[in-house]
Amino acid sequence: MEKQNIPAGQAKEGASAQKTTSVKGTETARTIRKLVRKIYAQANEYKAAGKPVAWAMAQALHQDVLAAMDVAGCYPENYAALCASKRVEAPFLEKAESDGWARYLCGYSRLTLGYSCLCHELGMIPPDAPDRGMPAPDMLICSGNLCEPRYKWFQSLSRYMNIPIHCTDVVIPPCDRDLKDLEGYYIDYQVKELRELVSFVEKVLGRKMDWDRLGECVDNTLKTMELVHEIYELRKAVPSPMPSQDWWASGVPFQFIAADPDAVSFYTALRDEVKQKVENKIGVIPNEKYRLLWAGLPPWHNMQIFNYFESLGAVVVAELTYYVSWHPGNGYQVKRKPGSDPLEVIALSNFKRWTTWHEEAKSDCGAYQNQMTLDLIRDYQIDGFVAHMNNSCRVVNFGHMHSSVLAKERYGTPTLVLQSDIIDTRDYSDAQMKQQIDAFIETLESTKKDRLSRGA
Amino acid sequence: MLAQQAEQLTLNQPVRGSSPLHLTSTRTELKIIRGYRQIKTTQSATKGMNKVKEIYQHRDQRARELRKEGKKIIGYLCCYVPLEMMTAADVVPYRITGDVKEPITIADAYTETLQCPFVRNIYDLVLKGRYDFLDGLVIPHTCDNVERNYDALRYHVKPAYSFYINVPHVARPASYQFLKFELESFRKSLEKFTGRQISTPRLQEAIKLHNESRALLRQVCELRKEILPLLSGTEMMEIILAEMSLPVVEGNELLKEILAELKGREPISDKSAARVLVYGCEIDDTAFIELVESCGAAVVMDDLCMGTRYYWHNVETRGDPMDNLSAYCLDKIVCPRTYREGKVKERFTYLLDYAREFKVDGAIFYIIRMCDSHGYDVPDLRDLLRENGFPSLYLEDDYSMETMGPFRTRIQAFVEMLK
Repeated sequence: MEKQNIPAGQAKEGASAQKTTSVKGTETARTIRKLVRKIYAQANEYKAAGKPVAWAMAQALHQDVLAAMDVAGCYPENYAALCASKRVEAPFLEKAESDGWARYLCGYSRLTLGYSCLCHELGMIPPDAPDRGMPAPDMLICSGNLCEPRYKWFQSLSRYMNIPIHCTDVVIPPCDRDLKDLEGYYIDYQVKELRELVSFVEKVLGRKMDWDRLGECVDNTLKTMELVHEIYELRKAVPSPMPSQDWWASGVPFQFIAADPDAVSFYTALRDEVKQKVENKIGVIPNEKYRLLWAGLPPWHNMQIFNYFESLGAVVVAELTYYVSWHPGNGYQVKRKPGSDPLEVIALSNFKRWTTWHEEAKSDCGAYQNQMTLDLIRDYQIDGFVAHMNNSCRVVNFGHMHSSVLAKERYGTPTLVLQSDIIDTRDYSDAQMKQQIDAFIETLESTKKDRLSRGA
Repeated sequence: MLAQQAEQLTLNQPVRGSSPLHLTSTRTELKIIRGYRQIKTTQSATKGMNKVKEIYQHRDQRARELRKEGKKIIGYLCCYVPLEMMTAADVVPYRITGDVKEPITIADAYTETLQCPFVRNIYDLVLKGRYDFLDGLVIPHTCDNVERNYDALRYHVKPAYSFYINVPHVARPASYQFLKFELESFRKSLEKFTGRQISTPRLQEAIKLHNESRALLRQVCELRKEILPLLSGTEMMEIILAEMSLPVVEGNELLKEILAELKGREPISDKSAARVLVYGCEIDDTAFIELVESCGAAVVMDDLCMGTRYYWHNVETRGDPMDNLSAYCLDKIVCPRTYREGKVKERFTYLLDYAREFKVDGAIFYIIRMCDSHGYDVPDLRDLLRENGFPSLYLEDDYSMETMGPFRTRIQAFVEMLK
């Protein structure tokens, strides 16, 4: 099979046998480290200055609240991915396992638990922790959204730290009910949960929420979502202007600091760059032969695997994890009116986001994630579906097999199932991955011809 | 396609508890396990328990008979489904279980292998047609595995009726109200499906019946409190699973019958048996409990999904029954999937109470691999129990008979240590 040459601009960074990080397709995505460093730098600076620090989570609706209360957020999910990308995850995982945490538990959580255990034993942040480490928090804020490890793990952190903890419930309607019957009480409950969150933070800090500031933060978040939506739309172009590895890196501000003006600036720059590439038909690689959809969180320790696809003429043009969790859905469509309750806006935006595919799924395949998958396959002109099964992040695996069956039935799209882990390099075999990818790319040629001849 | 696959498979129901480790107890055989005395085998003394064993061995038999008579049978998972509402609609609720002896063959083409093996096993059984007598499914939002399979299962199986109850993760005042709204939606959907109104009086009556069931099960469980228990953990499991297979009125009659029998029994173990509490998630087959008891232990108490979590507390009867059912789900079911405030000691005070009241010598953690709800509590719970004088053994299972053999050595060593 002929492998494509990586363009000169990218070759400088690539091709070492030991290289595990990915080469990005956009210049803007390459600047993301600055923002990631900022998260941990700010947290450490706040800690040093006696200002509040929270360990918090993605997709838990508390970004705006924390930003408005001037609490520096630290995000263990992101920090674990960072450690994995820098290949320093092993000591933390081993520490966690030695203290009784089962190996099957979420890799993010094991890393955080091991990290916290070490901090507890040492009485300080481990000296070689990346980006100065996560400082000891003043509060823990978790959520039941997306998966139950996200609140069980933070609850487990009380083993190493004795600080206030709060869990925000986030409710997503089931696919088989009528939205008009439940929208009212779902949003009402969400608003009440957000009020509980505000009360919790107020109590910990001993001061009240600045509601005007919260409104501004919500506006920034909505602006961020709108920009992300634009970028997703632009990425439908052929050839692909922005590959998946760029989004896995660039998604950090959207996931964790959407209310930050720097997030708005970053996505504005990214949108502009992607738009320019679309207008000038500049693709990720010179000869894009196959377009792939990636499902599941990636192996953060070996993101070069995306470049391996590219060396074979395949670009991963879009991605999904658990349904809209990395996509803005319709949440950006909500606009905040002056004087309106920011918490109601957050709740409504969240509801709109998670029900983006509701009506379609209800009358079609019956599940949000699978409907989104089918739509992405259609809209992004996908030739192959890559389902990355994570050993320790199983919740984002759910639905992939069903998607695979539907994709085959509906569009004749073949699936490649890969298996490794988000964090744990012990579960990753580069040789095996590449062997499977090689075989899959060979099948794509014939399946693509079949589909094109059928007009699919 | 699924119907064809179901037809190709043998639908003869396997005999439950037929593992190599199980010594079948019949009317004529004696059960001789280390630490246990011989059980008296006169017919009159075991009539009720023999019925229990028969039902346990052929769990779906009564449900299939009732269906032929025109009753609607609705399957459910977990303790979070308010069975009272189904009973009030004159539907027979049926607890869906797996089959630890059935290899998974079909499900892997439709659902992920990297998930709770118990849920995957159930998925496989449903696809194979094992539950073809069910008219519908009710699935609560309990753990990720249960929740995330709902949509795909519905798509492939296309039940005549299905409902997903979105149980909140937290138990704050607004959560009870939210769950009440969910249960109101559930009620309306049941009424539409059955054509029967679930009135407040009917619901109150159903609550009364199910509370009676819970009280009877507690009374049965209490028979293990004595130093010389009157029934084994294996029998307790059989009783619970049999009860879950019957309409509540029939279940209550059976429980009353066996309660009278059991109270008249000789103790079934002597003081040499180590008294053990089993903590964990889904055990729906006697194989594991039998294994523990064959190693010289008496399983005198549990904190399991198909154990005390199912019956230890009653639904409140004063006031609005829908409020009461909502409160019961969030307050009384101690499954760790519900986020509760407080440190581990506060959250697990009840477990220490169980251990003390039932004079437990030690605890065995039975955790199904990939169970996040339970897995995260293990280190703290282990330490809590140890600090209070209760050593523990941690076992991680793949919901398979193959693990029973390797477990034996570890359980034997643990039991010896307890003694």
